[in-house]
Amino acid sequence: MKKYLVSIILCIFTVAAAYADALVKGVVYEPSGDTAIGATVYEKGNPTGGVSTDVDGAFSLKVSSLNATIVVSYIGMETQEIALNGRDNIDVTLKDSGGVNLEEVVVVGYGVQKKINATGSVKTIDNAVLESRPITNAVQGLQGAVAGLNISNDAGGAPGEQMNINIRGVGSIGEGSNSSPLVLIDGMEGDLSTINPNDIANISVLKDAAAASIYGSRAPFGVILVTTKSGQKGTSVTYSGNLRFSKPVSVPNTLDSYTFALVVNDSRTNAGQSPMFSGNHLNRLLQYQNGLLADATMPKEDGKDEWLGQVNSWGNTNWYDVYLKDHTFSQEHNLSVSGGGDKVTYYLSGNFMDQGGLFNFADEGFKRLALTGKTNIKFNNYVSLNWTTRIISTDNDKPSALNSLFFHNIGRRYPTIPLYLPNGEYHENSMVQSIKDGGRINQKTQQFYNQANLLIEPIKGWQIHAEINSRIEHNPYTRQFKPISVTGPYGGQKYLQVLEGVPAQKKINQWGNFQVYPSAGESYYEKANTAINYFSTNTYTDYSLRLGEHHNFKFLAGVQTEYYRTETDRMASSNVLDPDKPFLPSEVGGETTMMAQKKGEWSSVGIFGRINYNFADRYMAEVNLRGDAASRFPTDQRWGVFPSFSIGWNIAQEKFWESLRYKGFEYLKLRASYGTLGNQNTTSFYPYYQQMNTNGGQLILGGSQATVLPVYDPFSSSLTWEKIENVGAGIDWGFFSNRLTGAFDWYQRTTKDMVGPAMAFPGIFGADAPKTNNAELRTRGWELEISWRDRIGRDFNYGISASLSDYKTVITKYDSPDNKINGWYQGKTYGDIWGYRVVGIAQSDNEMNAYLEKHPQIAIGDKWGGGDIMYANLDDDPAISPGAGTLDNHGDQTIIGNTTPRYAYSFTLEAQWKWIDFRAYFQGIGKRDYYIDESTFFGITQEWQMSFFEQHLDYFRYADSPLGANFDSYYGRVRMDRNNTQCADRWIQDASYLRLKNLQIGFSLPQNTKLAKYVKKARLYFSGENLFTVSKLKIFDPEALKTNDDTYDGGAGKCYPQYRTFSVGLELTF
Amino acid sequence: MRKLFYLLTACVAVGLTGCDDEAGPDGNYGEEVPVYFELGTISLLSDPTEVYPLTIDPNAKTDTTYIYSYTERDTVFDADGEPEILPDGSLNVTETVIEYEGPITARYYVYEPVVVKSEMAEYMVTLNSNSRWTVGKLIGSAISCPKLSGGGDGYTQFKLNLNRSTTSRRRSIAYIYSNDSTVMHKLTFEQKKKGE
Repeated sequence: MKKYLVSIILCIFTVAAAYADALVKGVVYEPSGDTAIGATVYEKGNPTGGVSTDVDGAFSLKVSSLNATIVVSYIGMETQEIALNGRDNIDVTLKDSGGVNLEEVVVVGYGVQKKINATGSVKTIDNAVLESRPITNAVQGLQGAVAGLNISNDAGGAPGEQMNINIRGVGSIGEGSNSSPLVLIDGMEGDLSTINPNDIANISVLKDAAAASIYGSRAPFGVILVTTKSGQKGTSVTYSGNLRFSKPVSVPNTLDSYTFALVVNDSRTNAGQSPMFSGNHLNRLLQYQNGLLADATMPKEDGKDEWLGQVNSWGNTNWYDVYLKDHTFSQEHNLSVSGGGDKVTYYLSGNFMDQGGLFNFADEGFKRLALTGKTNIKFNNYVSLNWTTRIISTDNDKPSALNSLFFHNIGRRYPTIPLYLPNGEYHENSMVQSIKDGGRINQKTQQFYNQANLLIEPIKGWQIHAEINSRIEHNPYTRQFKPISVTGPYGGQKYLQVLEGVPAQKKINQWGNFQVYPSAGESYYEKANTAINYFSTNTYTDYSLRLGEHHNFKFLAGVQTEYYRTETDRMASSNVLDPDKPFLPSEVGGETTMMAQKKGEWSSVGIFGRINYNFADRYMAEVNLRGDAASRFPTDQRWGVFPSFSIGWNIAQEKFWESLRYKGFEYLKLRASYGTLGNQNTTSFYPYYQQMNTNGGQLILGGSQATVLPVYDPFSSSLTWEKIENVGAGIDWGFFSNRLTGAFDWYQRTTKDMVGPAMAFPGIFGADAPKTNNAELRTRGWELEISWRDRIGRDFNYGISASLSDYKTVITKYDSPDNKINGWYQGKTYGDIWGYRVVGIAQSDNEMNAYLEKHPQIAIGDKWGGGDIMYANLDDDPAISPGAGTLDNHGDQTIIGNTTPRYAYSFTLEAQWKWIDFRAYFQGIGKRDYYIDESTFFGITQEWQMSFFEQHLDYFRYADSPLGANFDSYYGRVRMDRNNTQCADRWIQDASYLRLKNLQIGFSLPQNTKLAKYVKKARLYFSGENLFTVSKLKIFDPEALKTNDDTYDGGAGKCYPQYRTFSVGLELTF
Repeated sequence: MRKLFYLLTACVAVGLTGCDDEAGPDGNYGEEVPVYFELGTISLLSDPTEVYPLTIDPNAKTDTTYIYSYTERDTVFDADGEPEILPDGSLNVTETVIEYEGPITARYYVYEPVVVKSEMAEYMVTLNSNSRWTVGKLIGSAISCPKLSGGGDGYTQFKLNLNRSTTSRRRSIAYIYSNDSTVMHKLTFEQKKKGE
């Protein structure tokens, strides 16, 4: 008996061992009988643990047991699920899918839909667009990825720089509201620029009202849904990391000091003034350049303990070379663990990124640490729970002086200023002390997300979701200005201003931020903390109902609540005991202290419902209705109801289309939609309340500046929602076994009841008329996406995809009080540039005098002569003038361009041959006009705004010039005044561009190597970002045209440079 | 297929090695063009048909080379090699002015005096040039010039005050030259006596 028992037990264990962690092998065949190379085989529930078939169609897959189910998928073929039922060797013959992947889904609001049934404008992309790219955040990676998703960056590539996002163009110019899309990460509002890109599984962009209306008034301008990765059965450990080297691009070539001096002299004599650089000074510049002088400065001759600087010294310094590194280093590492079984699956990830900056002396950087944990617990067949916790911490550290004012000053720093003084210190005009020792800004963000999603499925087809979402943010901020000084020639110390060239001031703006320009020698320390609490609940239920063979319904209803609270406490003091260890002093009634506290909260509630109907996957209809209430509006106007509906027709399913279907035209769908949404995203939480903010007044009371409380402006108590009306139509297709796919959309979006100014009151009223909902804006556009994927032979598959989109925005209603052409007015196309037209450059005084006799230009300048611009006369008045600058009287000004980026496009080339893959991703703007009203474009715009680069030498010169004659020039005579730098068509730049955004080549470990036994997947790749740019834009990079911070209004050449990145990376999966 | 793959790999290699930034401008956009600068006509500003003859003086020097100078300072040392100290305690330093010819030789045009009436009047002088020019020097209290500089083909103006003398004519001189000082004109106005 004992023997039998032992035998039975041994048999049980043997069988159990056989069924646990087993290996299944087999061959996959195409319908033709050929072996299928590169087919994907994985255990159901564990797609990341899959393998690919080899050249013989064979595969070898580890499964959790021989009772598992495996999934086999292959391009152009139906995906099959095969239950092993104890088999460890199985051959699979695939079936032709008939072209359409009927199961392909898109993520929509509160659910998923089969792509063939979707009637709204939705685009879902997987994370391939983000993989293996040396990007800082997901936003950067999405640029150009989806037609209609416009991601732009005009402010260069500073670490942690935010990019601008809009869907289908500008949505509002209403004062006090924004038109950014709503970003939801796993259903909760989040920040796309901080989430770890490696955690993203797919991204859906909901572009029209039909798609977005389910989210109501928080999403009038579209929604970006981010779905993050979840756990799968079977344990998998993945590491991915890359090392990056970035170098700045489009750095201007500055003039040497001698040439600079000659040009400056020209600018002064051309304006009728005496030259700035004497003959002796010019000689000295040459001598220093030739190494005949050791020092480039000396003590001032007036006996002061100061060194000569600015235009009085004779250095030869290229300030971009001084400040910009040749390259900087960054790195990113990501580790994720995924696993689980039938009841519990988990996904854990950790990400660390360290991005270096491009400036010497600055030691700037951006760091991100992100930890994610996702668990799914299946209690039973009816109830499951998803829990996600995410911690994201970012740290942006840089010098306090590294702001738009610094970039402005670098752009106009004279080359005659030497970097070093004879005593070895940095020259006071070099700004090195400000950057290196002037104090630092540190902005941290610490975000803690928690999401719980309970799913109850009482019966098949009926689901109940209960979600609780929480985001807690704690964002500490410090800023310090430290005293900096320079040693004079006689040993004295002189304090310098950290922020050069602006008068010292301290001010608190309406948002509680401190606008501080410290005085020389001042020690200043500021500390702030922002706490944000966001809480939302989503409770909704959906039920799928099938009546008969063809009638399919899906019903959805739910309630959403949101609550948001923010508080910022900010304090600053100039009474800092030790600048190297700064802390706020303990003092009572200190005169050197600033403090401000800002609080705000809002809440909203939404009730929503949706009905989807489709008849035999052929005719579709969807109706959405949402009612929203927002605390931002007066009590009698809080509620808004927003309906939308959409229809679709899958023509390819019709009987009359059958013959075409067999020829390869398997999928063609027409769709149309209409919907309205409200916009509750006002800048102020309570725009119908006016604020009275204390200010330093003009009065002096008791010896001190009095604090005053100005009365608020008149306001309208009837301010209400902006309303956005969307109408659109589209067509989707999939031909030739889904190898050729694409979509085309046309849309019109009208924003009504935008907040705008009312007609002016008589001056006796004493105040401006209150703003009211009286403006309208309309955007029309279209989008095209097309893609081709195919396979050649056994080993090579490739894909080509492209997107193109365009839009135009017009102000259709606006009560402008003054109709200024540079403001808003009815009929204005968004982005219009007004200016003059240029006839040409006069070649001599005679030519200019003859022109002035017919068309005097006294209104825009004087002392005209040869080499100056002749502006065209466009109105009845022969004189050239700007008129009153209004629509009715714009003088000789006309519309000369438009700054809206038009014809945004991208195209991707992908290929894979055996274990080598390749991807090239191009992105660009087809048309964009830009006017750069900066000395960095013209060379000089006024006496102390000079930025002479090599391109600026193309200015008009007579034969006597030491730089040679230049009669056929681009610029007119270089002058200190604005005669030759009026806004005119000649200066409108073509800011369109084509950029090789990403190029990568990867090498994957072949499955038939010995190492493949230990490593499921290994891939080494080389990747580059922004590798080259084709652009006609003079001097500058088309994505580095202006600054983003409010320290100083900087333009092209006065912002952080763009950069090119090379990276090498490794991906390993165990 | 292999060739296509190699081509793609080559593209990647080129792309990853990076393209240089856009090529900068070629030189300073200038070209060497000889300067020309001529006086055209002299006419009465109020009556352009009244034109005065302009004749180059054949006996005047036609070119001049610019002379530059600098001061050379040397400390005087005694027999022991020590610097000499003057009674006031300062160093004994010698100064020598050294003159040398510069690289510029200007073409110099001197005109025979232009005889004009004694009354106050303004005269326009047309100029033909491809250069900037300047009225650099005026000699005589009676002459003024409201337009001291210009560029290319153009004109300048001179205002002469009334010559009150009944016994002698009065001369006023204007020097006009190209801004690079390679062409200079000496223009002399000779006002008649009052009543002449």
